[in-house]
Amino acid sequence: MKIFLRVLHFLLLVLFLILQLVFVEHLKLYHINFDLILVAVIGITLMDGVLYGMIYGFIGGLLLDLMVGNIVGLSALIYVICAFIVSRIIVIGFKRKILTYVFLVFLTTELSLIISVLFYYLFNYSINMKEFGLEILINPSCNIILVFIIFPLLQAGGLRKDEFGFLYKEKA
Amino acid sequence: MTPTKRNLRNLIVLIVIIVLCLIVITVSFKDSNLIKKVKISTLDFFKPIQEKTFAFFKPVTNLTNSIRDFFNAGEKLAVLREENAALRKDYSKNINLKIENNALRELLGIEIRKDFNTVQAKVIGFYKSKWQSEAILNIGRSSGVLEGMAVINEDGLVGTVIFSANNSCKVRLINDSQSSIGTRILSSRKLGIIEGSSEGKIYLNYISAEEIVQKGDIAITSEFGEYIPSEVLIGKVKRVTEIPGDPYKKIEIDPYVNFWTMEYVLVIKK
Repeated sequence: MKIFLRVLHFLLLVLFLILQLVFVEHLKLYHINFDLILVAVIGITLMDGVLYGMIYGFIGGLLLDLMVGNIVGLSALIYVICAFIVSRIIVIGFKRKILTYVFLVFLTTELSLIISVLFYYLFNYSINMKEFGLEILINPSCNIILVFIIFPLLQAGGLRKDEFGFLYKEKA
Repeated sequence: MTPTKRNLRNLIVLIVIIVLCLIVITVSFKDSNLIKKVKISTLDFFKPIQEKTFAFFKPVTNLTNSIRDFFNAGEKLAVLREENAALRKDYSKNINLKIENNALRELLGIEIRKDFNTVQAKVIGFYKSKWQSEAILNIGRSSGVLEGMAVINEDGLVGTVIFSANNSCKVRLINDSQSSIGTRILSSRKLGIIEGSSEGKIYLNYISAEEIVQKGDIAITSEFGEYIPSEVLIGKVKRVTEIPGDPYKKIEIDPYVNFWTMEYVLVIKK
């Protein structure tokens, strides 16, 4: 069952990658920007563990970079670091409930933006601070909305006890 | 496995992957052939899936594009009305000039401009971030598409091919911050370079502050590009700003092409 779920999660990750390129780019209105792969990697880390989160993050990021990236390997690096940080925060003792997931997505989105800006700055790209400020404000909110779509999709097929706190509480 | 051992294993995997990523970043920045081959294989592998998914989501993307157009409709209509009136005024004059021009060319034995050798392509993907603005097309090397070739549609210049796989290619749109194309202002014949920016706007740079450039002036491609033919429409001047102490004007260009609604384009072969 676990192997089936992991294969399913990998297929979903590839689907999100395709959707990111063919569909989500059209939704980019007035700085609205969704990162399907980042949210999926966080979801996978929470469901399958940090090892799978890091490996899937690496594969997803690398595929994205190979298809459209300026700096091949940067997205892979960002997703892997995000997966690891998510696992560390959960280990600290945060409860697995919806507020925690929202916080994790907020934190990792901010982190991914900062890392990518730093790398692009190192590679001599111009940085527009106004644009960056707007992204810092808007992108986390967009990705938080995705939590409510992607997380239930990832948990489809899982056991009721594995659920993310969206649905039922077991009756006493 | 005990938690300590598991943590150690995860830490080792993290370090290995980070090192691997840094190696890939370094190798890719050196324009390695290996990375190029992997990129070609990846684009070719995903092309059929991408094409089908793009077609499947077309109604939804059309809807989002319609919403975007709805918000800009009022402003666009006023501009188009003004433009239509000007065009109507010039129409008969231009026909007469064209006939006269062709007659003079024939008389002098100058060849009339040939049509471009083009190949039609379908857009199957987009990617937009602060540092890049790209489209993916469904044709590649097998159709004779090579890096550097110009991409146009019925409205004007779209961009240039920056990476060509066997059956798909990546196009750098003219609003990409790394895009840089030789340009002429149609009325004054002054040369400049149009460059994209991180906010997705297009600027015509290196036009001296002393030159007269007006709102509405048309920008076309210059004749000095290796692959990009001359006189392809780019856009018109939207805003001209003069910054005290700057030897150049800051000219914002409004492109004719709507990058997010285009479905079919033409790649100009040399």
